[in-house]
Amino acid sequence: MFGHGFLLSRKTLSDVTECIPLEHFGCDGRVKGNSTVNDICSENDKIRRILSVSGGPLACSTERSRVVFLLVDALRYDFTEYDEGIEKPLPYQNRLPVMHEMLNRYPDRTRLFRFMADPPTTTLQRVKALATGSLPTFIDASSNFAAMELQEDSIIDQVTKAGGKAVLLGDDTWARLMPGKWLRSHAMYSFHTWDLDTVDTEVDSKIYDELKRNDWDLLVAHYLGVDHAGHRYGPNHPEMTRKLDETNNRLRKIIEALPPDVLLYVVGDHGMTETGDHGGESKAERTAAFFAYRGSELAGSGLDIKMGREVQQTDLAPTLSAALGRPPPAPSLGNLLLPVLPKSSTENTLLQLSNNLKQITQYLIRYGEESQQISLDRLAQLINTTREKLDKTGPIETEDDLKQYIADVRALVDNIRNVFREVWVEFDSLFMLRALLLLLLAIFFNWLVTEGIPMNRLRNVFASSFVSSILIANALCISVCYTAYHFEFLEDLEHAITLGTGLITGALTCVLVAIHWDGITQRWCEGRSQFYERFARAALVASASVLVSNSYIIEEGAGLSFLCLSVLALMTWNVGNAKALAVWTLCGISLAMSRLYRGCREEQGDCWTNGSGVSTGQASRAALVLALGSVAAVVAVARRHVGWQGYGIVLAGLFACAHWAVGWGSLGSPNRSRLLARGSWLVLGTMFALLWRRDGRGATLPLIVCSLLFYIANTLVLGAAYAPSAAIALVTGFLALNVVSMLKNDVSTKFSLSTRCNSSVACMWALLASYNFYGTGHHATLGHVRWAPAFHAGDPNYLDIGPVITASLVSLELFGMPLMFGAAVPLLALWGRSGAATLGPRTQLAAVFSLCLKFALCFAIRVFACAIAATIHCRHLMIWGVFTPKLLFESGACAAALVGSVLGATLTAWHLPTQHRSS
Amino acid sequence: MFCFFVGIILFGAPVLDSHEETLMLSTLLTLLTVFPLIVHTGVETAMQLLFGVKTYGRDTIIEMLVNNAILTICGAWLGAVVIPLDWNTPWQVWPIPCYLGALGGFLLSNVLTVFKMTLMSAAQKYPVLNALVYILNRCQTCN
Repeated sequence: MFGHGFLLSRKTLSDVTECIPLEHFGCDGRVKGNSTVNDICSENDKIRRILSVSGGPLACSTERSRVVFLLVDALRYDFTEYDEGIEKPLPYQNRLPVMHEMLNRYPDRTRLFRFMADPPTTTLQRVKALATGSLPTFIDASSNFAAMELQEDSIIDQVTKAGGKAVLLGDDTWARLMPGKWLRSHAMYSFHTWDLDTVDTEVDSKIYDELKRNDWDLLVAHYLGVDHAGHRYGPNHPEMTRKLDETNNRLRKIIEALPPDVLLYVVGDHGMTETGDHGGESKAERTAAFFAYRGSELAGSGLDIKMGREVQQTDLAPTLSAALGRPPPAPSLGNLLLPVLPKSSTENTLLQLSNNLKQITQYLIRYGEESQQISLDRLAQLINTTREKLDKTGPIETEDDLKQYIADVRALVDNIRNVFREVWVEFDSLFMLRALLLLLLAIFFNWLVTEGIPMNRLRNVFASSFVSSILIANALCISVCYTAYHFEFLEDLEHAITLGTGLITGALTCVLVAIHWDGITQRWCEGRSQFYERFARAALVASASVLVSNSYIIEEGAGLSFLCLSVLALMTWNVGNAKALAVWTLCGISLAMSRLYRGCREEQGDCWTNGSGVSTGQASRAALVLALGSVAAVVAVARRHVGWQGYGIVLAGLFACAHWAVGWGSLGSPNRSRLLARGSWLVLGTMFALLWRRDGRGATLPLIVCSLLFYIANTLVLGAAYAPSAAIALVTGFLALNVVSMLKNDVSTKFSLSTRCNSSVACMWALLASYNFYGTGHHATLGHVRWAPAFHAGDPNYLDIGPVITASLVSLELFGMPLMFGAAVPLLALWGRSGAATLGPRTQLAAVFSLCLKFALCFAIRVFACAIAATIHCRHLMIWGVFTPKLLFESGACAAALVGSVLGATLTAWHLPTQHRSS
Repeated sequence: MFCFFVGIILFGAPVLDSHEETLMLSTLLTLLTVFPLIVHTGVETAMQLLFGVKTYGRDTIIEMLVNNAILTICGAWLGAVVIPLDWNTPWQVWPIPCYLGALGGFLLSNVLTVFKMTLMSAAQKYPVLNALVYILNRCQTCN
């Protein structure tokens, strides 16, 4: 629910604007059929006719010019200003005198505008916006989430569709967004932010040759130096002066080399703050510069061409496509910027304007069909006004009429854009608040139940009808809601159900708490916990609360291992013998070894720039050997200790090993390897089904087998390069289990149970589980999601359930570790000599249940902290880069842990000796 | 000392580089924690005291030394908290915060002891302060 309010989504439509060349129109303004009647009429008349036909298709404009599109990353508007009056210019002031000179010398050939970007002001989003003319959000809900590739219509698509050619120089963001569309592309990797020059010199070495050629229609050159200088040093630094001077010389040379009929647009995609960063929505970040130049006259007059006028970045896409003689790209919500287009006839201008309006109308209609984000009434109203405007094109003859009309259209498009911006850019705070409240309530009651109610009472709760009554009440509530919805009493089904069930469950839990109030208070009064227990809880709270700080999220892997080890150290201290110390040391060593597998994210400067951050996906020979060895070792040890089920594990492990070995390197055969992987999955599935066979020997063995199965599944999806890290995680978990089972128990087994079901143990387990997310080489960024495991599933389009399988494999790859640890939670209570396995079944069940609840609670607390952090920082610079992915991944991990612990609990319940059940 | 070294590395210090810094930190920790105890009581007893096998009864000096050791390690532990922050200050480099934390913990522990001593001697004159002494004592038994 929080996600609903927070993650602004936008439907991506894959529509493409089409236009019909003018020659295919007849003189009556309708599209000609196959008839080859050659009626003669002037082009202007024809355009007039086309315009008078309402609801007709888009017609291509005949006027085309070639465009050089120079994107200078982070070119803020005040970098381009020139003021001779400044005595001591700052490092970034008065550095681009060429623009000033051109403006003075040819006022009718040059334009300089403020180019207002929409947040988020990051390069990727900006490039998308410039290319499509739309307002990109953080995650575009598109059909294919995996690919970076732009799914929507863009100017590049429009150019290539008409047989034009586009050339790319510089930043590879363009190449990644729109691969395969370029005539020539010299893209350079763009993320080495400390490297100020490589990309720029590379572009410089190519661009003058390209300018001499004439086989392209659109030349995109993306310079990164200014942005990188800003990131590295900030705008107030001599390096910035150097980069801007370079830009100045470059511009001068380009303008000299520019053929007269070619348009030059020099554009900044965003600005920068005084520290040189960007991404947020402050004025300095949003105000970029837009400089246009053409060898001959540009259109526009009066106030429109005043220097420093604010224009929107969405306007670029329709303008650019109009300059290239194409209709605007389908998702564009921009206005035509006539002042930067070549001067042309009234008719042609009208044609371009009407194309723009028609395209917007189409987009409105299509968006209304696909998504309910904007209410239909409002959409219909917008569509109607646009149509009215379209119909008014006919009677325009004079210049004044045209001006008036242009102003009207601009107002209308601005209005439409604002409507969409509200939906796409603004958060739904009410939703977020309600979701936070619900989550908080859930956590609070869960905490009361798990912490408050004494163990011996929990037994009785199970025996009573409490659980079933909750289920019945919820079912009742859902059905009532649904009936009400059916008879149109309620408008929003989803909300009603969430709120209703939440309320009922809350109320029932209240009753439960009220009944057991004496027990809870008693426990609080007598409660004096050990130091390590308090410390463990404090560690969990600390690990949750530091999620508010971006630097801790970035370094969370190290922080979590630090906390885990501290908690374990205090537990060892509590045990206080040499064996525990040895186990702790081993645990520490395995945690330290998993450091090798920890990934790097791009914010971690030093380790990222080493180039090791980008995983190649192909394992080296040593990694393969390690992977095979680790699996073999684990399997061999497991085989000895888990009885007949060990054979299944050995089989699955063998299949996994064979899968890697066969698929390895260039010699490998992908098909056979995939077959082996599928065999392994099959064995795993069978084993999992066999787990449910009752043998009446308690739940410990099936639980161990279950977690081993999860381990093998994890190694399978992680691939050979990361498989040893899964083994390390398994070993760590095993050692931690031993530490827990050694915890000092006061007198007898009965007390030891309460020690082991303590929340501190659950906290420790949750910390370990969330650490191993990092330990297996993941990071909470979208870029770190590895898509390789989808390979097992084969072609997703081959089967109906293909996408489902792919999605579940990928999420298993991501959250396999919380899942495994979640399934192993009951072991915490049952493992070892003094475990609960010797006690009565109902006590066991209660212990396991409370542990699972506590484990889930720990994750819920972390998710809650993430949500709070995202709410607090919803206007933070790094919200899209750090906090939001963290929230997504944390909720994913929470869900996985929940599923895992439910699985473990059911497995335990299933395997409890049946003959005692009734007792 | 070696134990400290290994322990620090296990807690997340860089494994392959900056050995010297880590070694310095472990030397400092040894100097502040184990060394005074050993000098005062001898190796066997010191180990027993540190691992909680033997209690120190009413011996104030040993109590002080053990408290010193514990608080020093706590300080070093807490010092690590500031390392990941992105303030880019020169003192955030490993292991300076841990040095400072260890020294701070040691200082704090000493100050506490001195404070307690003065309080106790003052309480002999003014019985009102007895309540404070009681609270202090209780706090220590908690830990």
